[in-house]
Amino acid sequence: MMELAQYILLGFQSALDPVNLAYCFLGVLLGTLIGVLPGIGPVATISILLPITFKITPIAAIIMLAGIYYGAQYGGSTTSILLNIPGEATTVITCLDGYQMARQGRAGPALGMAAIGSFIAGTLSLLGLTFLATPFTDFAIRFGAPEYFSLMVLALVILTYLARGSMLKALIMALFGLTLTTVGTDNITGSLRFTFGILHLSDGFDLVPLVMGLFGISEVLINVEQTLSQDVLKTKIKNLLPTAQDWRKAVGPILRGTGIGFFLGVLPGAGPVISSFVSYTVEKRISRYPEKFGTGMIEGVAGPESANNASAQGAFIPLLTLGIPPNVTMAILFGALMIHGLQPGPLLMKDHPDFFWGVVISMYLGNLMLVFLNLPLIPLWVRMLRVPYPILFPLIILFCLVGAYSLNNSSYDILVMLGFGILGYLMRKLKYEGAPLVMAFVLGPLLELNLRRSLIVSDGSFWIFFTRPISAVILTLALVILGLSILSKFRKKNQNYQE
Amino acid sequence: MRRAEQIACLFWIIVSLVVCAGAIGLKLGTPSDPGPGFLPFGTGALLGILAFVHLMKVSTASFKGESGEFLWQQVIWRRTISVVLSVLVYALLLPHLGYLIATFILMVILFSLYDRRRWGVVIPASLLVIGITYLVFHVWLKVQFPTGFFRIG
Repeated sequence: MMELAQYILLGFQSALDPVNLAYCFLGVLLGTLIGVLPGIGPVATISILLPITFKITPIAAIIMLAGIYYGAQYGGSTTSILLNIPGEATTVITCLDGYQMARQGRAGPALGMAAIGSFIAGTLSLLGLTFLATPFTDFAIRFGAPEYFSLMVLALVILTYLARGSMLKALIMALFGLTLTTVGTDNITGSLRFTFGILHLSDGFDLVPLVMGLFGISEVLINVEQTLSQDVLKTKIKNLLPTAQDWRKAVGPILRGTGIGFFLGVLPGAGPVISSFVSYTVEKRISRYPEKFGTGMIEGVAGPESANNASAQGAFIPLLTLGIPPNVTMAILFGALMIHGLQPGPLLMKDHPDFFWGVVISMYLGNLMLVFLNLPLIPLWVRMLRVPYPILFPLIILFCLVGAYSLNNSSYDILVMLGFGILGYLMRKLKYEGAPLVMAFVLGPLLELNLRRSLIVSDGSFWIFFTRPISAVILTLALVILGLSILSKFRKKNQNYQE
Repeated sequence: MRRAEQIACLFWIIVSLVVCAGAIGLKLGTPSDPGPGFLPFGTGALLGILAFVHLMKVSTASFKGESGEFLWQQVIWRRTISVVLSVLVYALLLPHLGYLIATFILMVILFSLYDRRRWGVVIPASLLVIGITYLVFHVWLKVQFPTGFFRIG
């Protein structure tokens, strides 16, 4: 306990450094802004800003990028409540009751409850992160190559299992992502793979142009081909602080949402989107008035908004302690840590406690900043919503171009980004998700290294993954999930056939 | 929709064949001593199998509700193609024209994509954006931009 207190003090020392504090503020400000603006999300923003962070210290970089991620969870609710357009996928469910509340003239309490619920959930989730980080790290130290390989397989399987569309397509994406990681020089033998005589490919594909293309450019291509409507509900936003009755109704959903969000955030593959949906379903199921959900119930705002924030903070546990990113944003942060020379995993906390605890404490401060950014500044965010897309999209493209170019001072990276942008655009059209691809791309090198190491150690026996207890449990779980998914598909098919 | 799905599956099958052929050429090794082609062969083969399964699935599935739907219906093609082409040309011309000139041309094109007539807004807006990005990235963050033939910037 004393050790933890010392670490927390060390974290405060790092987080309260004026430069880190400024980057934390910049991160949550940008996060809120892009959360508010439909058409650009945290994944695209973090991808676009990734090259800029190379010029600053690793701790400032991660503090800022993390701030964008959890800040976007706050900002996304504004568009859901006022426009009925979710600023982020994580706030889709907030539209149902939030927009109805706004139409009844209760936009203020809806926005206020979303922000306060997010703050409570974020803070409680961070407490979980603070107290669970050490036990997780101690557990992860026991991991060897087979355990890491199994854990990465499990992360990919869960991610594809929970994919919004077809699991088959998600698996194809994950395999394509793994294939992309093999382009370039083989880390073990040094031989060139799939470079086709192109010198630039000898280092493989960089994460930055890949994610900027897949998420930034493709998002622009999808948006410019249609005319986005930006009708802001003309309602007077008053009484942001919820009433005592609102509080009575919302306390339970906030606490349950926090629990659900935190648990699903830690789990690989789940993340804030699913957390918000699960929280809404739970609230509706246990409510005495389930039929009223969708007509402007504050529980339908408080629960999901708390869940998505708790999940966003909880997701840092597997990333920072196990070195396994549980969702695509964490996968990009994983890449950012690697680029900055830090290996996410159990040794991160042991070797760089100032960094680890500095980032954790900065999130407490960021959450506090977000309440003050969100509640009093809501009229400003509403005005930001009126920034027309014809002005916004050239700026997004320019940021992507500068980001890609500045990586190696080469136009080649712009071409790679454009190539992945076109691929991402086609993938979106055909409903292939980008998240499994990026996750596999980030985990690929480590997955291959751990697979080959395990096989060398076991003299070519694949049983090594099942003879070691932790690895066996993890891999069996992955196989069970795969099996269950196939079984449920067969059952559905059978049912349809019988009908 | 079905045709597009089938083309996508064929694309993945071709990718998988290229990867598998390349992996064999790289040396697969043995399980006790996996070579550089070991993992790519595995992922390539699995990719091909899954793409084939998906191809069979979409070829036999009924697309009743979506028969009239086409992926690129009601889409303003001109804008999408203009963005792709302008970024492509920008990447090719950037080293020759330099950041300031190439970006100015690109910004003018992109800002006027929705409304071509407002030159009085488009040109000052493009200049403003270039000025700000130049200050932030070049002066503050020390990003080295190309100066091109004209050595501007």
